[in-house]
Amino acid sequence: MNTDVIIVGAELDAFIASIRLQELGYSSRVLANGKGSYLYSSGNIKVLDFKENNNSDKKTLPFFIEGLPTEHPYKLIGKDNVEQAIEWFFNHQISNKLRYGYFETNTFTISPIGLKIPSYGLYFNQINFENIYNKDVTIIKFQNQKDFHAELIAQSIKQYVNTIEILNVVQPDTNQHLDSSSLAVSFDNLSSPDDYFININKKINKKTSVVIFPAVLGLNKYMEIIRSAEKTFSKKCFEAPTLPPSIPGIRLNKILEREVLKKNYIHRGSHILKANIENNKCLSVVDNFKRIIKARAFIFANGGILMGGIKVKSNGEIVEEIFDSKIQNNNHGKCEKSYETLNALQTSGVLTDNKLRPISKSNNQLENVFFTGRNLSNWNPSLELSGEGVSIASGWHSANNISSYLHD
Amino acid sequence: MIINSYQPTSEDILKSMDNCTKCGICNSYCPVSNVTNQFPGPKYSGPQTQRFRSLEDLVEISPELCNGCGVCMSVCPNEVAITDIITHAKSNLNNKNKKISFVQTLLNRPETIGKLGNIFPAVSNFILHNSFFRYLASQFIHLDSNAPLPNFHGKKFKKFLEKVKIDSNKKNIIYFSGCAVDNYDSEVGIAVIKLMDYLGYNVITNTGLCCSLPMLSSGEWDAAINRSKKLIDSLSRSLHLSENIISTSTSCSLTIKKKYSAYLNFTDPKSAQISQSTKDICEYILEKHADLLEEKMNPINKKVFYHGPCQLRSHGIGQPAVELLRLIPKISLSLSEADCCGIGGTYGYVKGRNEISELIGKSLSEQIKFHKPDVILCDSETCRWNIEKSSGIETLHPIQIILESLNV
Amino acid sequence: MSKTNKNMPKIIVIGGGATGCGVARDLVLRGYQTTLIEFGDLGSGTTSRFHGMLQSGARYVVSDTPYAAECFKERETINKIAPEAVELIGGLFISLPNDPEDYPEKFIKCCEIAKIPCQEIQIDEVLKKEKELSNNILRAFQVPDAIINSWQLVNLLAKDIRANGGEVLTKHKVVSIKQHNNLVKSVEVIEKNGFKKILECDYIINASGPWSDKIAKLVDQEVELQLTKGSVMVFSHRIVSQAINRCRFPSSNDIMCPSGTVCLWGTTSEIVNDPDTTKVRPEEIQELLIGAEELFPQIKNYRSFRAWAGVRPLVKPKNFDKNIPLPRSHSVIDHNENGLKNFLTVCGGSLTTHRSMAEDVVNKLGNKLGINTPCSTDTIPISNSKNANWIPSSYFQKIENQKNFNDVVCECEAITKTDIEEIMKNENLTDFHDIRRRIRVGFGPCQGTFCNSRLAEIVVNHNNDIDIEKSILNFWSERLKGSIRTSFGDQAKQILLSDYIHQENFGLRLTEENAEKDDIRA
Repeated sequence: MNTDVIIVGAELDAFIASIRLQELGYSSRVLANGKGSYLYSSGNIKVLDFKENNNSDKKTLPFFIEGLPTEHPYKLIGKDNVEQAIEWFFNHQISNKLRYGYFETNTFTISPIGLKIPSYGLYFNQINFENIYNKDVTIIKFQNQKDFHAELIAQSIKQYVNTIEILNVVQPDTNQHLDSSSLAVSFDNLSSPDDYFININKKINKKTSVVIFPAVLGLNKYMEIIRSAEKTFSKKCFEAPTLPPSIPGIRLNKILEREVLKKNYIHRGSHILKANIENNKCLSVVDNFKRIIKARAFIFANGGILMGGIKVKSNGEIVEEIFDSKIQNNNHGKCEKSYETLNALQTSGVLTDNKLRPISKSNNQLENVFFTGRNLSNWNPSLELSGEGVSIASGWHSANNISSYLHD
Repeated sequence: MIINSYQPTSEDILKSMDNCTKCGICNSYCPVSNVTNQFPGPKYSGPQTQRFRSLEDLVEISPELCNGCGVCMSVCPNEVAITDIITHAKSNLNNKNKKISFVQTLLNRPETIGKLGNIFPAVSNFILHNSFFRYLASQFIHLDSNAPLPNFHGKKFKKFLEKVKIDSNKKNIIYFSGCAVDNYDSEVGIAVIKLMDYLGYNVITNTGLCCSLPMLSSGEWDAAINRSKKLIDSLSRSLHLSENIISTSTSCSLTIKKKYSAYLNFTDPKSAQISQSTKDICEYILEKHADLLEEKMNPINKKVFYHGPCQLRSHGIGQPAVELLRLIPKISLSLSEADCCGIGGTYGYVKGRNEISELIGKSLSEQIKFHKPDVILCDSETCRWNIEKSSGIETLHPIQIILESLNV
Repeated sequence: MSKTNKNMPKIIVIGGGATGCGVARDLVLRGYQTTLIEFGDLGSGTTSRFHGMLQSGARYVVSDTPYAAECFKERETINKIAPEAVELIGGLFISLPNDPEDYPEKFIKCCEIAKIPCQEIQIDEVLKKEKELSNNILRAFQVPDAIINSWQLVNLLAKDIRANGGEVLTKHKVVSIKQHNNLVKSVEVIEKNGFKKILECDYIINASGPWSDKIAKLVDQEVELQLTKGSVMVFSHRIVSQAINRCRFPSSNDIMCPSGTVCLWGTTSEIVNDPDTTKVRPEEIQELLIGAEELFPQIKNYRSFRAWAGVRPLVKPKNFDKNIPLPRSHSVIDHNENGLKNFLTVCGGSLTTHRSMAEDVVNKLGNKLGINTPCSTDTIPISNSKNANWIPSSYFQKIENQKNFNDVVCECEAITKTDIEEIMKNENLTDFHDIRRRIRVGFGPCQGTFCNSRLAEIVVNHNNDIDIEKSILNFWSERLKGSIRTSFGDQAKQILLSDYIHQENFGLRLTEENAEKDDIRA
């Protein structure tokens, strides 16, 4: 079967690229190894941790991109493209399925330990700090649940709320584990969520106006379940994140996969070991079954060092093994302090042109290969809080570039 | 050294435990641990416990509850051979501590049962499907009374083969029929002969061979060695006739492709060649004859629902059956989103485990109820029997519908 | 039942490592009123920073035969009195082609003299059992090496000290020592919260290891030390089933020693001036890998998830000659020779001989005081437990038997919420590091990535006052200090995952101000 584009990786950028390519009329095949690093996030979309001055007008993302270094992926992609990509994402039906709220500036959600996290987009009923200021809050925790830190969250937010209580309740099915995914499955399997919530309602403080659940209220039926809770309690209900892997991340994954599988294909368990190149074009890739997979263009969205797209050798060398691309190596091994080492590792990556094509060591510029997301260099998702933003922008941008390339 | 290699050995498998970063994504997707708290999950039973197993003998019962679906391995971002590590543990436990149960010993020899049962198929079928005998079986040998047992088909497939003539103008293809087609699912085998004949092949088959997967999954490896060698030798003898071996069971073909080296350390050139030459039938047809099929296929008037078996994932080929089905003009095709139907090969046949299988299969049952298909397609035999039993809807191998659409 | 007696002299022991704890235990068993003072947590100095071996002595059998014989005797003794901290795995001495050819014969002969059981093993037998070893090995000798859990050891000692009427003061820093008429009178200590205390004493035993000189200087004395820093790398599973040593004169880069579920390779060797040096330099990691590669050709493909350094103190004898290696056996210095009548220093030796060092210095103390109670530390077991050896998988087996999977907090080391709460209650602990040192939370390959916040949730339930953000950050950055040293291969992924969870997901920020300082003893 002839596929236009092979996308290697399971990251958010991989799926965004495939969905965008389909929109532009190109078929793709996602060779996924794993499920993507966005499962470690809490479901919120972070584009950049920017600080606005108190007296400024509401400034949006492109303004703050100006202040970034020239080699930053946002700058390579171009602030207008980045803005378009983000807007496209939030207006797309994939976002609508999770009812992502798009704020055009940062708002704050709560992290699993109760700290404020700036987010550009929050999914349906993900807790926003604005929801809790001066309110009477109840945090619900399942008895013996160990991956939801109700106490830590309570400690952190108690300065912002009016009153706070933690309510321990019994899980929906006592024959199941108390980890996030078992809880989510047991919520999906509840024959009557209303009955379950009626029992809980008896124990909630009457004064409470906001109820916070751990983010485990179902994988498929979460909207129904939240609505059932809100109806039963007559109070606003929100989800606060658990320790990763996160259920909101898995929900997003399901929706992205469903979208891709409408017309395209995903190969699970596929490991790419090498590529066949001729005349500065990549013709095909070879997987761990020695299968040769041909395409007209290739995107490598396989997560950088974190997810194995780029490898670190014992002598400190950083390599991208398929094309031996030029790497920005910030010498993490030579750093004195741990935070310097972390920053050096995070900002190391593949060097690309502004079309996101890797710069080759030998000046033989490959014309149909693109790198996205955490493979890119000169950005630090942890410090900048820009993980999802760069993924979306680079996935979208590489798809657009491939479309131009294939059109010509 | 790690699992990216073409033929990972036992050593590679067990060493891959080091790659684990404890991210827990495998636990989130494990169909078993998501429905019961008796199984601690793949992360625990796999790489976590393996660190302790390498110190000394442990008394464990957790590995037994793994159903071998391989979903964990397909979602692991770090190439930890989780399912294989757990299966290794099952084998060690069988050797050192426990004897394998009688019912498992029976289930591990499906071709023997097939041969015996097919002496008087009518009688055997009566016994197999009579509720009194099932009750006795459940009490005395722990064969679950709900287990989806197939019907003995007598020598139907063998008799059909005898009538087929070899045409020296045609190409040859080797077909590993396996115990299911030989004894219980002759219709599938007959469909293969007809389809391959249509595509211009003589089908070379040796009946009476078993890939030993039930033995391998349950840890009865000593017995598996001889059988597997027998299969390799038999297939090798035919390799001069054709480059490729096709199979209609994604479980059997996976076993030949990867599990002989991973569990039994078959790394000799003969085994490696067999492993490289084996393909799933849809994989093969998609590669070689997709264009012809696209031309010749006619619409069919049935609502089709396709469920990709869990073990198909480990092939890394996506869902070739779906790609072929999409060539059928105006096909009404819906795809299963369930990772596993629950039966896990012979797992769900054992008394006490069938409940777990049912819970796992709940999501798939709900999807089937929602889509209301006329026919369900699945590439693996025990999955087909399981789905047909629980849904009451005819469940076939994809090539049977493909054959139908070709009006052969 | 307390053994200490109000009529016996008051002894202060400075230094809570194996030596100090051993001394304090010996003292209480002989009836002395004893107070042990430790700056950080027990064992956080040299005791926990070595390669984990309770050696048979074979390592020093050629270079210092009497010391080797003492080691062997002590190894047997410690296994008898503290079996729950010891695993008897055995050891091999391996010669490679580039090792001195005549050493093995000397080795065999000296083992005979020191009465250390030594047996040559066929190479193919060795290679069958230890599959990771290089095929180039020439000869192999089996000796009765063992491994010791040093954290467990000092905690058992401390429990016994307290049970017998002694006092153990951790997180107490010695500020000054008051002397009068050539006698030390009292020690002033300061606690973490700034609270100062004066402790009176009749004698001081200085067992502060690499800090012996700094402590001695408080009373205008000195201890001439050679401080050698050694770094160790941790590999994430048992590459070998027994300790592997190079069959040559003891030098750097020659021990691979299993310890619990991991394997320790070490050490480098570098002379330093500052006893607080714990930083591992990247060059040392490269040195360690190159050394390990000679024995284990695949080592660079394995996962190393931590590296640490410790400073070993050896006493320079009076006529110190730079060209002769320092003797490994311990020294007891009676500062009476320099005018201070009631101050003894015990230093040098090794963890294996900590008990005999303690016996020696307490005997000397007894001679000076005319108190002749004999030593009983070699016969009385340290704890009353079942006297079974350390089984590293025991925590895991307990969970498997009880099936309380949900209770597990630290997955790598199989530690449950119940285990943690018990420790917290028994010893009144809320500091994450104290809990970690006693029960191994965060010791495994993920280095606290996931158990950090779970631990915080448990601690906050017991003590509402803790600063969560600070505690979680502090725990993470301490674990990071060691785990970031070996950021290659899969460990690089783990480090970045840890960063994702703590900075990108939780919202913490690691900065100059809150990153772990090199000295973590406080």
